[in-house]
Amino acid sequence: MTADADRFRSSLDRTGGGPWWLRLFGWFSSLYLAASLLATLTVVITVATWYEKHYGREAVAIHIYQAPWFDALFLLLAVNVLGAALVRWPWKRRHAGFVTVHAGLLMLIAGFWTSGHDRLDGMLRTEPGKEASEIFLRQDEIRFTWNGRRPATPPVVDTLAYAGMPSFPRYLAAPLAPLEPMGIHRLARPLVLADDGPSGLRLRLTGVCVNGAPELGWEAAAEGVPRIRFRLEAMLPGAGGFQPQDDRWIDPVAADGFGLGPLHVSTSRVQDPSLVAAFADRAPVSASDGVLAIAWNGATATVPLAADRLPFTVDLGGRRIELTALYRRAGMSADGGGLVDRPDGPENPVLTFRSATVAGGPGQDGAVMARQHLTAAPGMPEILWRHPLQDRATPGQQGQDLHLLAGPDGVLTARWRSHARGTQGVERIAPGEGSLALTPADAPMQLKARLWWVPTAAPVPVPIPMKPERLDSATRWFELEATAGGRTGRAWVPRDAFARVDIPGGEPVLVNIQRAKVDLRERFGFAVRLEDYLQGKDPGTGRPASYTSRVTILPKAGAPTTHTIIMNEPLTHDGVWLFQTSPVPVLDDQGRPTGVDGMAFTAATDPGLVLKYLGSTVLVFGILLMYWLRRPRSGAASP
Amino acid sequence: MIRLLLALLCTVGLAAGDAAAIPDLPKAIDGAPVLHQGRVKPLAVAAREIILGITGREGLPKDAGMDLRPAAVVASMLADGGRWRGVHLLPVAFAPARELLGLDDDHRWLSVDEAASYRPRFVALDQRRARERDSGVLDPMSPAEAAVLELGDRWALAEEILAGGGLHLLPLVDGPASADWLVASATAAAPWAGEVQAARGDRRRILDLWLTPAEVRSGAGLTGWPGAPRLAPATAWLDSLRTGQGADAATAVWAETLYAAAAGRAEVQHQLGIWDDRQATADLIAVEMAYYQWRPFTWSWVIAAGALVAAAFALRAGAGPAARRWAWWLLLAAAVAAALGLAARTVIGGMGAVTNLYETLVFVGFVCALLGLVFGWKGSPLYLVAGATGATLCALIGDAIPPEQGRALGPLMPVLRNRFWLWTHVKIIVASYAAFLLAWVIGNIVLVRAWRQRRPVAAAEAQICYRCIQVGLVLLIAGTLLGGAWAAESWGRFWGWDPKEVFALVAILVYLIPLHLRYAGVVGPTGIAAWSVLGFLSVVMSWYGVNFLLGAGLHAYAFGSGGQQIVLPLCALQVLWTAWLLAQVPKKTSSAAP
Repeated sequence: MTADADRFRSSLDRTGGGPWWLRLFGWFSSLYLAASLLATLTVVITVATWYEKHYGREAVAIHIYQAPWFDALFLLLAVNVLGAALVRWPWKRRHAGFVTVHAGLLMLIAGFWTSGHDRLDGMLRTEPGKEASEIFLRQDEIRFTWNGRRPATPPVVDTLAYAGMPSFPRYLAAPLAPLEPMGIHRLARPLVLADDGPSGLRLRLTGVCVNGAPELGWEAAAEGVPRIRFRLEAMLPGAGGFQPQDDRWIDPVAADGFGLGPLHVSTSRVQDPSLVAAFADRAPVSASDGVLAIAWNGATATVPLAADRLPFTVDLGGRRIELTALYRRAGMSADGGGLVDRPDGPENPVLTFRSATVAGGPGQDGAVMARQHLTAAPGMPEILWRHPLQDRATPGQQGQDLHLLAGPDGVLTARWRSHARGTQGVERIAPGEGSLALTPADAPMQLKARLWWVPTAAPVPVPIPMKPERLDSATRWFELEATAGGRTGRAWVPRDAFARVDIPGGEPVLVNIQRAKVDLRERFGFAVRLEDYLQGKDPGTGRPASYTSRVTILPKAGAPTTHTIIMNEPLTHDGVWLFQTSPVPVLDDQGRPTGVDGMAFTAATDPGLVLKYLGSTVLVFGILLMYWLRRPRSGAASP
Repeated sequence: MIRLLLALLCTVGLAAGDAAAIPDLPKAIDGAPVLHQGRVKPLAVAAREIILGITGREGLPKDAGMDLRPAAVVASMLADGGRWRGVHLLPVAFAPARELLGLDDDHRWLSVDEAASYRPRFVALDQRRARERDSGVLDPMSPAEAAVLELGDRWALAEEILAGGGLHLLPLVDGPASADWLVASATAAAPWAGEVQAARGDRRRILDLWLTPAEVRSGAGLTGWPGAPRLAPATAWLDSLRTGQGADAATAVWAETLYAAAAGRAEVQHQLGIWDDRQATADLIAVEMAYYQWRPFTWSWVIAAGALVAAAFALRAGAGPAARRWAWWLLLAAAVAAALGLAARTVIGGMGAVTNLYETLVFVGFVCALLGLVFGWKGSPLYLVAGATGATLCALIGDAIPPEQGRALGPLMPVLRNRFWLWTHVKIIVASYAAFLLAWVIGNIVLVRAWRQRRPVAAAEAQICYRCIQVGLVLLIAGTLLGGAWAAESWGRFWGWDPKEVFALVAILVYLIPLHLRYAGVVGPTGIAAWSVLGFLSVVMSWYGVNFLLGAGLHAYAFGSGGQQIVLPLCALQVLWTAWLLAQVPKKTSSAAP
């Protein structure tokens, strides 16, 4: 046992024989607790750094550095530091350094405590010549209107706290149980944003996706609409493998086809199973005008079609269908139940027909384009038209066609054909993933279609892998659940857009989510106008060397004053510090760059800064004092 | 076979012919001032950086078939780029990259013309990189793709230099009259017209416009430019580089021309209220030439290695005072050499010479030598051994690491251009690393000594480690708190839990723990020695790991890559070795502290 240790233990003995609270205080002041706290802190912040590497600065702040347990760790440290100094009372000369060091530490901790987690720390974006006062924060503000009413203070949500990043213990356990990649996170306990009681609106946040693509995707659901995710991959000569060319979701009901280089894709949906069989028939389509498959009342007829044979009559299951005319008009397109001319549209042959009962009941007119039935009236036959030209953009017999037919049994039938090589194929795809090799093996460019068929799909955000520090560049999505009158509606809503949550049979909730803001004018009584800024560059390069901004402070009362802000030389006004950062593009209302650059400033308050500076000075002075006081005895003294 | 030999001879003859066609220009051109990477520097220095950028090494590869110094190569490239298009300059060393490009294994170097055929691939990869940078969407490249992209960057630089770009000769604003002319000529069909228009008459915004060699030659858009008389010396210098005739005299005239133009530009800066002490002068160029010629840091580690040998002799039982005196004076000479190098870099770069890994390495070496000198004056020779080891190791590693890790003096990001904070926060922090490095060396020595002598570490030995840790701690704490003050001044927060800040704190905590446990009697002298050794791993993480392994946080200016294959195994080896030593060293029966 060293003399130091003896002395240290004797200092603990002062509390050893006292009441329980004094003994407890002794324990809280012990060197062992100090060492344990230092070790714990070392481990925690080391792991936190890796957490930050994976999830970004804001996530680590929420889940670790601003978490209550982390505060508790520092509180314990403060108690320990204070206790370590107090148990040595009455202090002697040799304690001067030790006590000074601990006083400095306490001042530092107090400084951080004073600053708190709620200090202002946001971004002020300015445009030349315009006033600016909005400081953008980390949080999001959810504004909503229902039945003409809106809350006076919209709820503010720290979205990243609900985005599914792992808690610190869960992150520690990652080597044992791998973590899920970031994506859509549904809240185990939805966050109530508004609750007006049984007669009013209840709005809850049920899901968050902070790394979403700008457009929604789809996922399988018990109820929903059919959707196909279509991904085209191509392998060019000499390339090592397939490269993705296109990735999109298709509505098989509404889509009227699209072209992707040499490939044209079209879709349709039919209710009669016999039409699926007719569609999948491998027999080549007539060289004339194709084949019609007509279904009515359980019977099916397949009719080779030629313009010179019209009019043509088919009797089918008690119904007579008279095919009357075939138009070949470039630009003709379907619009609901009618036809419209679309100058830039593909050539679309259209067949008109008249349908009547065999007994001579009243007839109904209709039209069919390539696999699109233009009359939705009940009692009409269902017609599927396979046309050699289909609805290709150019009538030349080049390239590839791919047709996707959604059948009534939830099965997708894909049929493709190479016009240039005369090859074709058919494949049935069950709900889930399928892959189609569209080109023959000897084709110079190989095309492959990957399909995800979802017969009943609900919209969801599409997570995209983002750099953690750039998470804010992704679209942030919020799943909101609105309940009113016993009915509930849900919708995914993006930030910075006007959206709605439909409640079945009720008034929709209009939603607009924006980044939370603090208004400098309201809170601190002034605004800022950027007069001009200069981006100094290294000579001969476009590389920035310095930024200097000239801003005018516009107080509510008093005369405006103009100042210069330079990097490392901030401006202080009424307790708010404005720090020079770098130019940012000015965006229009739609979020598009206007071509003009503005300047971004960090705006911050820090009420604990003086304490931090003071604590730092005292701490360093204390260390030097401690060393100096112990110098004569070469470290034999105890603190 | 005969045909093969003939073909070989023809190839050699061609290469020799090419080399013969390129004049080996006189040494005088090495000191010719040119603007490169935002700074006027000697052509020899710019050329070294350019050749490094193109070939990945500091000279021409063997495949180029000629042996010329970088300044002569770049001068020839600028004067007559066409000669170089068929020379093998661009490395494709990575086998998967060759496979991706469809090259066979013998094809390890490409000429600029050969690489140009892969332009679409380079562009596609560059677009991917740009997309990832701009959108933040992760699009990781395979190692082969990354190597091809690197080749693309080298090729683009080579194309730029061969087209008479890549560096600059004359400032467009070389006096008040030129500034007026430039503002008035905003609509001229000149390459810089867009930038002049964007400046909207603000002279401060046009100060960074300079003319490339190609622009000097073509003279496009320069009709009526008041600086036109300066074009003739520039053109004459470029012509002399082509033939080698009269290069000495042309270089001298050219240098005077550039200094005069720079003085004229400085005059405009002063009129606009801009104070710039980085004006190109003959003295600055001379300092830089001397720095590269004399290689002070190489001398520093060579001398320090001598000091280490002497100090090692001084450690031996029964050694006389002579070895110790030799060690001290040699270490002083090493420190002086390092100080001269640091002073030169400070003068040349204008900042604190602690702005990247290389500079921190050589600075730590310098501080190690200083600490060794101070503590070793009357203290244990262990200080001299540790100081000399640190000085040798750091400067040696500095010489050994790839040149792109900062041996060249590059431009700094705007927030770092602050002498006060570089001289206080950064230097103090980095100085603390030196103290911990001393503790690490001494810890290793005393542990090995204890193991060989089958005894615990002596209290006096541990006290030496302890002293170094004390010095390191006060420096690290002070430096970290000063960093907080800088962060408060430039970023708006005193402490932001940035990874660099976190690992500075981790290092502080790591060294604080044994100091506390020592008072409790938990850690004895052997423990202190072991902690000196293992604690240094936290410094390695803070110094190297955050920027090279973690690559996250706001201290992005120091990010880099490479070295993991060396540093990580060495760290693991150190841990295992220390653990083994601890197992071998007898336990101390008494827990008395030194």
